[in-house]
Amino acid sequence: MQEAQSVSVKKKRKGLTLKAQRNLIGYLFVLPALLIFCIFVLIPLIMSVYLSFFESDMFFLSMEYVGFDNFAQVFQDSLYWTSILNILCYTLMAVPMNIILSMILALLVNSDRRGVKAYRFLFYLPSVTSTVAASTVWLWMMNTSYGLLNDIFALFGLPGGTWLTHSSTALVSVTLVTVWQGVGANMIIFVAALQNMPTQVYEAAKLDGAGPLTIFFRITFPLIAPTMYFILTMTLIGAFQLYDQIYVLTSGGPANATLTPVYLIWQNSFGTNAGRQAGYAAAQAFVLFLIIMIVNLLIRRLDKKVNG
Amino acid sequence: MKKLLGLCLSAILALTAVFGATACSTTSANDYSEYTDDGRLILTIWAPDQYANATIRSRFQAWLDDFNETDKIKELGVYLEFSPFTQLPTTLSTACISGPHMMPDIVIWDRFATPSNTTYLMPIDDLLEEDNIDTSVFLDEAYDELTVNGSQYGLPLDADPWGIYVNMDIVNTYNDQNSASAIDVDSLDTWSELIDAADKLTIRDGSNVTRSGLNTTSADGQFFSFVYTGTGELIDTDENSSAYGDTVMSTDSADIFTDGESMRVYDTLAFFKELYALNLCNTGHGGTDAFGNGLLAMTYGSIYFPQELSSYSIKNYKMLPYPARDLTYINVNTEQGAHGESLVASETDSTGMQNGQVGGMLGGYGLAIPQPVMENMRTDEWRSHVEKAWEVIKLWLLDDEMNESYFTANEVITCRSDLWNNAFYTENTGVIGDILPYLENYKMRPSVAGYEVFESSIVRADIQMLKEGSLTVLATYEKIRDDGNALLRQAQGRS
Amino acid sequence: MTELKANTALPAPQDAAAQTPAPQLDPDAVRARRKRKAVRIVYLVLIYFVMSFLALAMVLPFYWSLITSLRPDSEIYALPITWFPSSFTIEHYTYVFETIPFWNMLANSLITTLVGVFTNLFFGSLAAYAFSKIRFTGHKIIFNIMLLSMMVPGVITLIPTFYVLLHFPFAGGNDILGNGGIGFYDNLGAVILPGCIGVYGIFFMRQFFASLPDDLAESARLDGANDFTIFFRIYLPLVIPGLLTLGIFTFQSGWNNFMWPNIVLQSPQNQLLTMAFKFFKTTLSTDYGPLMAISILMSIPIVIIFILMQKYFIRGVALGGIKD
Repeated sequence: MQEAQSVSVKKKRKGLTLKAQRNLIGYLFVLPALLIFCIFVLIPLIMSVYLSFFESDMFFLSMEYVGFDNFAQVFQDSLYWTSILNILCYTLMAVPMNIILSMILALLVNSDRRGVKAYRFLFYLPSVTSTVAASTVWLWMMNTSYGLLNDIFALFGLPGGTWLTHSSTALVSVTLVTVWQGVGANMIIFVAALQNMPTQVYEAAKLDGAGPLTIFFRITFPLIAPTMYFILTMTLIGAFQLYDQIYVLTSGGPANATLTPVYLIWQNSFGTNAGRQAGYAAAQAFVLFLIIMIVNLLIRRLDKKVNG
Repeated sequence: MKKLLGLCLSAILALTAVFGATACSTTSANDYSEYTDDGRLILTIWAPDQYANATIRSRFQAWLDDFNETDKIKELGVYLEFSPFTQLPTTLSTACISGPHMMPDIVIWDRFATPSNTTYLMPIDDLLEEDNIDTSVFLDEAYDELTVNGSQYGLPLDADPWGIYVNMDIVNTYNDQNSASAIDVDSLDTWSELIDAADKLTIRDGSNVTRSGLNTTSADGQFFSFVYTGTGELIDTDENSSAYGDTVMSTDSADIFTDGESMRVYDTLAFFKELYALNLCNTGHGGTDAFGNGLLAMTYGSIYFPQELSSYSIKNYKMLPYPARDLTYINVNTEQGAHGESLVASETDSTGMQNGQVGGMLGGYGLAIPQPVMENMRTDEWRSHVEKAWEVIKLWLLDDEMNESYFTANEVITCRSDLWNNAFYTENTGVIGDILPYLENYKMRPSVAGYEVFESSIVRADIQMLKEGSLTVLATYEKIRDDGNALLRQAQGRS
Repeated sequence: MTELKANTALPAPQDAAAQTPAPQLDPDAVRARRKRKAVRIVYLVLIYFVMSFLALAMVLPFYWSLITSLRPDSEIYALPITWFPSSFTIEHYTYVFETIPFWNMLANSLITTLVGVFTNLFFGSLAAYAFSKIRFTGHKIIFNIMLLSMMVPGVITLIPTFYVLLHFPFAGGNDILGNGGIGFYDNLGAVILPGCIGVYGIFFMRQFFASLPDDLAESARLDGANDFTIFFRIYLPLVIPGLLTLGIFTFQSGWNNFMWPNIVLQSPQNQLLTMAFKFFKTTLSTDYGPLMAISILMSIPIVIIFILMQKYFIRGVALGGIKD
């Protein structure tokens, strides 16, 4: 009744059918977003597909059609696959490390104990500084002669680490930096999830004489699994885009041990030696996209298994 | 509805106002010229990141201030300004697509990056011909580095030879204590003598190096120099050859070492391995600071190195040219030596040569004029800037007095080899005096598209793996060859 | 943070155990209680020890960069290294202010970040509202296309986006076809525009609107209120927690923005604060004194904002996790 009335009122006023009017308003509301989306996502994406079939400079100026050559080249490019391997290794190290550590931090600060607020603040602090600032600081921390880390090692009588200067330790060192910076934010998300837990379940478990470990694995963990999935996907997406830290810390070295796909593609697109590599860089980016999709599908499958 | 539209619009307008204001105030391809108060046209010079170094920057700026006050520059009616950029080629390429008002008028250009970047550097062949410039006054090697496919993309500014810097205080102290086995730095003629001296100057505490004898952390960048000291080539630069732009390291594994060129590359790698095995350098001693603070006895550096050192305590040092190859690690007849990785060094053909006679790597900058990538942006106004810029370049490089003023003020070596007889060079007691006698033997790096990436991504990475022991000498050799050829072919658009 | 606590009706598990009333005088029970108390104390000490250790690890780099930025070069590069500076200097800070247009860079960072926050919140929730409440023809397909695009890594569109910005009509001296000028090159617009309405924001806000009932607006509609009024007066106030969260996310990503500004902003006075470190770290030398000074300067504004808005910050980040 009311609906019909309001419709008739509007009809009279605008002389439009309800449907047409809703559409008009709807499109008006999404217009800015749609415009920006088309201009900066859709059109560039299509241009990028086009570009990947050409040998070209970054300005779309001297273009030469090469068909699928760029893609064929990607599959033969050992540097590219080194970078893919690096990012997979990095992801396998950084993502679990990040999640486990932030979980531990969350369990530690999820209480009303005295001073916990201050700890929460300190744990979160690295997350608010910019990646670039944090990376420069760690570059200095990890300096092999004047860095603080080796000095701390020496305090305990340990030999100094090679950190960013050796291909076997460089990627681990980068991982340390990103984990140091990333755990705070994930911790907060975990804390929120923990605080939303139903109290009764815990009390019942306590009465049944369950130990803290049992409680964690049997009750806490299943209850925060959805949050875990969210954190996992977000951390994973972030991990695959690793660039800022590499730019500051290692520039992809030593021995390409920290070369990431995004860094490599950036180098081929805008780096010092870009030249006529733009089309090739586009092809490299599409292959990366494919790999990210595959990993995402795998994770989704895992999520279905755990969370049903 | 009106209200909604109005609000949307005003929000968008407000947004545009924030950044649009600056966007619209930037000038377009015309009418971008700026003048000083006394009516001189302002020309901008861009310089690479080396000029961002505090000492180099302030010296250059001081010279530029003087230059701006000379009558000759005033006669031209121009005034020069300069700024350094950390990623000059990238920034320049984006600026040159944007148009003349974003571009510098003159660029101090790292010569060896010329082949991949010719789209936005202006060929100056016509200008050279018009003004009848005698280009033979420039060091040939340096001049040729700015030549790509027969076109000239600039004139060379400085000759930047690399060499070995020795902390003489450390050497003298060592000699005082060990007079029997004293080191004579003036006759570090060969690879083996260099190894010997480096080992003597290294102080170890167990396996931990507390004072490094020779910088081996950046020896990867010295690869070309050492290949060259073996009088070898690395890349085929013969433009008529079908293998143009490939590494000359033979691709046929059966006769890998039968030609002399690849043998020298292999020897260089084996020599590096030898250096690494001796544990001559602490991983933390790779920087300028280590040499400047006396933690490192010998390191590699260019002619600009003293300026970087000026803020450190070190004062007594010397620059040496590269020693000659006197070791070979391959017994060509049996092939066993190479493939079995036993690395037994034996004497080579170049034994008996003195240091510096075999040259080394010559780097350096040139002065070039950037051009807008789009033809329609090459406006008359831009052309008038080019004319002035060209006059400035001629004044800077070809006017003997100006040339000398630049190099005296900045303490580097000019590419005008005809000026080397001047007192500034002949009576120089610093590193310029040390290295000048050997300069004619120096070589530039191969002028082939993709070489920069080859050196920075492939050679550097593979030698790092050799250093860490994850690749054998032969495997490194093959990897550099294979990856290098793939990359170079791609850079030149061949498959 | 107080809000979080308000949500939690439960005390921590071990406290619950301690509160069990057991007023017996049996000596065994007393001993057991004493033992339990001792265990609890050990447990607490352990917890605080672990927390303090981790907190130290989090803070140490900040301390180290602060003291490095305040000591002279001779002390920075001195062995053995000392944990406390013996002399203070502000030379690195003065050098930073001499070398880079710091205030310009700070202003640029703030402008790009704040404008980004505003546009993302405003236009993002406008679109999100339309997608979830107006249900115009084709809203599903448009939304799904947008969602799919979230999977695409940003590097794919680097080169074309640069082209688009360069040839943006009427910007930076361009004509209607986008030729003749430089578009948004070397202009803050090049950083603001591509990120001004993120798909993530729309997706995020849509969930908040979707959780609200459709008939909230009926009475207002009867009074003749138009859709914009309804959106602004009725729905928007209800999603403020979501806006706060999104605002914080956008702020952080805007403040962190490095890769793209590094490509499109050329003149130092147009650059962002994140790019400042490049002036002190070149391929040939790294000046740690000024580098640490600039990292400290870079962190100060955001840490101040963090301290002032700590409550919202932490609540915001937490909400982001729960909602998805």
